[in-house]
Amino acid sequence: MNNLITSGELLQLLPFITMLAGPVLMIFLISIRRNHTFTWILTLLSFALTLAFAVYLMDKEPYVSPLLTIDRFSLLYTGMFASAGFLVTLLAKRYLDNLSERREEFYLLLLFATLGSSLMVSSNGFASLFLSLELLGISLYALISYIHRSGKAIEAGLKYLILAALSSAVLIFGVALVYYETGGLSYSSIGTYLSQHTFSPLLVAGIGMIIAGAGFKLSLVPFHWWTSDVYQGSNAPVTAFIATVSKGGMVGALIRFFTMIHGTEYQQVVLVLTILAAASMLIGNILAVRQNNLKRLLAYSSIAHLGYLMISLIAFGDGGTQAATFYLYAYFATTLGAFGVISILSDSQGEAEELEKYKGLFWKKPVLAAFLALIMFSLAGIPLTAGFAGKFFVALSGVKADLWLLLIFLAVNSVIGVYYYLRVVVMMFSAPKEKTPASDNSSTFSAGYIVLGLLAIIIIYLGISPNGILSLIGSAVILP
Amino acid sequence: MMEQIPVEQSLLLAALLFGIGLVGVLIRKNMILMMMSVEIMLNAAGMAFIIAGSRWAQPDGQVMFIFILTMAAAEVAVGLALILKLFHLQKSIDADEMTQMNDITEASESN
Repeated sequence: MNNLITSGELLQLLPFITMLAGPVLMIFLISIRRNHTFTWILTLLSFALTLAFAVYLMDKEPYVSPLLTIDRFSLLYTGMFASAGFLVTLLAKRYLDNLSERREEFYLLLLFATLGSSLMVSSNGFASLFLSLELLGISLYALISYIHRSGKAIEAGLKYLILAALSSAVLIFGVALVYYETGGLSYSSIGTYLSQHTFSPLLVAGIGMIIAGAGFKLSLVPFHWWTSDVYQGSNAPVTAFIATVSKGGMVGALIRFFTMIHGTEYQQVVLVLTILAAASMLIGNILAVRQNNLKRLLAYSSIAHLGYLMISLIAFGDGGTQAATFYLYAYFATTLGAFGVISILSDSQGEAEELEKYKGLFWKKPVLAAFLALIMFSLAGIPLTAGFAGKFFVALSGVKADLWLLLIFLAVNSVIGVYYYLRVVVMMFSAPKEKTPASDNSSTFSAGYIVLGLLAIIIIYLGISPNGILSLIGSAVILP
Repeated sequence: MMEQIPVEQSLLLAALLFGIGLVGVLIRKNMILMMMSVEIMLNAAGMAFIIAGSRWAQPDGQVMFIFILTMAAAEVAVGLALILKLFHLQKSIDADEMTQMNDITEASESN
């Protein structure tokens, strides 16, 4: 057996190597001479190269090792994370320009976190999953608190740290129990064991703890307590990153895990996931209705959206994984857009998070308001937007798998969702209370508008003709 | 030959440690003590891995323990830095005083 990496395998690992080479190069540059713009360009380049390599490798031979499986599925997700990271980098520059010093490490952490998330999707065993999960987690603790104007970011970072460490401890203890029972750490060996044995109490406890740990990362009810505070406390680009890349990594890892162990064939697992999905939809939406803070509103709405996504995870075989991935695409585009608007409207005084600030936005900044309205329509699932197509495919997979209870939940909660999303839209189009002087001309920020324009095209494109992306997703088979 | 400790008992010990850590996180208010409790939980998981590894006579359990140890150290490094920063800002590391952000009911009262 030859353990050395051949040049062919090195080529297959290129998307990950670029994400690793960027930060390493930055560490050297920082120790020699700091240059914000150059580091920024280097980060954009790393993300763009990762995306390019991921697309290039799509049609090549997959890479399979005892720790990682880099197949079309993981490349699809890696490409998605790299694009999201690219957009977050574009949004973050203006924030970091306001800092007087040590701006460059932010990008380093961003790249490491994206690498962690991509590796999570490629992991085919718990050893690599745990390592990549922590690579993501530890980078995130620092990212959340990195730009702190007040104590809020520190508070959010610490809350996230304690709870995330707690959840990884729960997850890893669950893995230990599963390992104790099955004698294997890779998904395939666990799957083989499960198909030959019945569930023992220890195994049930182990898998339950793994689902709990994963549920924390996805902020499913009842593991959602950190979400609103962390969303509010961190700056808009970082929040966009947590809401998209960090959750997407866990969704991808869960899809792979359940595919390999055929998780949805076991009644107990389905029952637990059903409860989590239903509770997330209902409680997320109910809590969102009461919010007057846009960031907190989006936090609770993201809990509900992950609940919708869980339906397609439960409906697994019947096109569920494709629906989940498509929903994730739609969710990425809308969430990045929403936080993009917040970060453009934010200035050195603070984040534009209070809903009051959005009153009459249409009369002051029509382009931004129209874009935010598009986002809200997409989140609410109004036809011709990505959100509608995503919800449609999720519901379709649910119908095929006869998950009627969850579908009723989906329908009822979509109605609640429409109420509070449209409240934001109504607020933007209502006449402004008093005439505020148009002082913030300084926030005409071109890179942010480029991001929003791109996302608007993606949202409408996914809503009008989802077939192109769907066939791409359909071809992304998970290798054993 | 020494008498072997049954595997179930050592697993029970790991579970007990895990429970102590969990209770610690939930009832402690000092951030540093909360982090220590999380460390206890992580080490309990590491111990469970070693027990499982010895049951199957595989090195995987010990490898995972090293991973957990490394990751816990990294976590503590970031965590202590954040706690220091918090102490500079608030002159307190009490978890109950981290109340800058709240849901709407409390927020409207304070306004």
